[in-house]
Amino acid sequence: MFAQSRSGAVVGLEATSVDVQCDISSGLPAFTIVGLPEKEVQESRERIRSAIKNSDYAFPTKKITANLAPADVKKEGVGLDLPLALAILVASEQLPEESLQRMLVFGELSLDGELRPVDGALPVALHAAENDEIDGLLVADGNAEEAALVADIDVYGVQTLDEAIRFLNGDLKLQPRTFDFERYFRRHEAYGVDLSEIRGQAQAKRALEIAAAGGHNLLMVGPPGSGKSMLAKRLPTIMPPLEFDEAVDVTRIHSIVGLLTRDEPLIVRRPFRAPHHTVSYAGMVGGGHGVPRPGEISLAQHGVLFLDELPEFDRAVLETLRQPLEEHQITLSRASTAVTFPARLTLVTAMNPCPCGHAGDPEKSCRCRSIDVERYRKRISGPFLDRMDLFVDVPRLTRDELMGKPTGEPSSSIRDRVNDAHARQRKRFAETSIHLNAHMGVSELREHCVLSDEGRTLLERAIDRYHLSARAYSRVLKVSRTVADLEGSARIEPAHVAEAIQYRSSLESIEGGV
Amino acid sequence: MHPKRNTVNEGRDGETRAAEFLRTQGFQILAQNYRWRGGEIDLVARDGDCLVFVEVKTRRSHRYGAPEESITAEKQAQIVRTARHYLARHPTDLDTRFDVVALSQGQARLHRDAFRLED
Repeated sequence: MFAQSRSGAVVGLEATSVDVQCDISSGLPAFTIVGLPEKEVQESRERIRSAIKNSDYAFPTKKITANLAPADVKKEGVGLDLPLALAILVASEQLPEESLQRMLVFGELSLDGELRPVDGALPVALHAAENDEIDGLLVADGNAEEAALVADIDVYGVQTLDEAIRFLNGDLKLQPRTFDFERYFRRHEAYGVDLSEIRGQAQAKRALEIAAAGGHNLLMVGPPGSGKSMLAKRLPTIMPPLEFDEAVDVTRIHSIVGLLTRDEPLIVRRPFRAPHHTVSYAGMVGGGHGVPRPGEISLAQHGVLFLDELPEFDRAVLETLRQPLEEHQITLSRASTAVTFPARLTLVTAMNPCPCGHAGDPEKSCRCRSIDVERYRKRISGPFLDRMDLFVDVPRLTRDELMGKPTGEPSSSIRDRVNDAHARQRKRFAETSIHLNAHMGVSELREHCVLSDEGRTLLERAIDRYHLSARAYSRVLKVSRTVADLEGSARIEPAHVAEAIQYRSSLESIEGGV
Repeated sequence: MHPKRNTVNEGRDGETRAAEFLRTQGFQILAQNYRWRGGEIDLVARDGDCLVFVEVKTRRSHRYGAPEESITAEKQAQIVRTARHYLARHPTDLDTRFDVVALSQGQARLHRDAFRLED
């Protein structure tokens, strides 16, 4: 007797259909799974057998062969437990054949027949919704909320294999799960931190505002305890809220890596990722055994990647960031597959001015030898620094600033200005693939960054003084454009150029030793 | 091992006791101690619509664990080989199953569908 069930598996960022075919014939009792199953799928045989028995159904004492089609895609994960179990039950005539038609199923079984949630429910649900032959999705209760984000498909959640069987043969009635987006967004949008909590540091806050408005990368230099991490952590609070499509994008990546929690099936806040400086190559850009998994740069999609203690990072890891930062995506190739993950993020980096952290501090003297300082700063390559648009000093706060009342502007009002700047850019880049000033190419620069004579003189002087490279020059232009956008100005005025140059001058102190 | 113990006889006694026990469970015994050069099966029986190959394990005490724990992968492979040999000689349309009867301390336990073929 032959039976088939439909399921899905995640390959990279996308889900793909997996048909689970099951044939039961007479012969010595055996249970074989073919079709490129990874180890955890092979192990599912024991779970399925116990789960079926412990749900009071019969596990046939016959020769069972299961095939996972298409056979050339590697099947990972434990989500195929449920489709395998149901195919066996249909093939052994314990479940009507038509019950599985037009239904996609996945979930992990525990030995007692409980159905457990699996990673990647959202990509599979999105994939199922695109398939005309599928009307419904049957998943573990713990996955139902996440899958119900996809509007075009009926999602049913069950707790156990027994419930799944009774639902499929009509003994158990279930309502499709729904998702209340408006209520959800209201409840989960708040970040819990605010830029107004930080005293002083007006220049750094302004740099964050520009970074948020134009998608510019930022390097902060300052002694320990001056608030670099606190500032970076609050950057998402002044960025525009995630659009629904962006939220799905972010959630999909977190779903694959298993970072979604049950009470937050859709991520509606911009991600803030701060990997430790010991992070590996694979941890940073993605990789790993079998099908590659997304790394920190993809988890920071539409959000902020914060690299604290920048010189402590493995130089090779930093260098691998260069290409994805330019292309906003990363392609990881394996012998059997090549996957592309998105990496559209704002990069914020931070470092101390020297190993002890007190160089340039008016109150505490630096005890580092100049050769050590030089070595410390040289750990970051010139090309990497070239990719930073904004350099800003974050000095130690004076006593008056520390003790004074917080007078900072709340994130919400800064966000209003950033929103306006984004609206201008949307209009400017309509019908192109560019979203933000930082991503302009040469032709866009020529078209949208026209300077007055006064502005050009200013910039020429800066080029001579700071020995700006061609890349640095275009970065100053882009930052000027963003400063003008924040002011609501169509033209780039000399004052805008002057401010943009100012975020370049701090670089001099870092590169001084180079 | 104690020199005076005759493990072959003890095993044979166990098979007979297991066969009696299985009859009380409604099994029909088809063969006892079926053997060829590739191995042996203690009991071949019929349970309803199923042809059952039974391995009997005897332990006098639980000092070395329960008897059913001592069926190794090699032993399973040997039983499967012998079952194939039996089926070649006695073709059947019945389902087949591997059971284990554990005898220890005067008790008999039947494990239906105790193991299956590995791939």
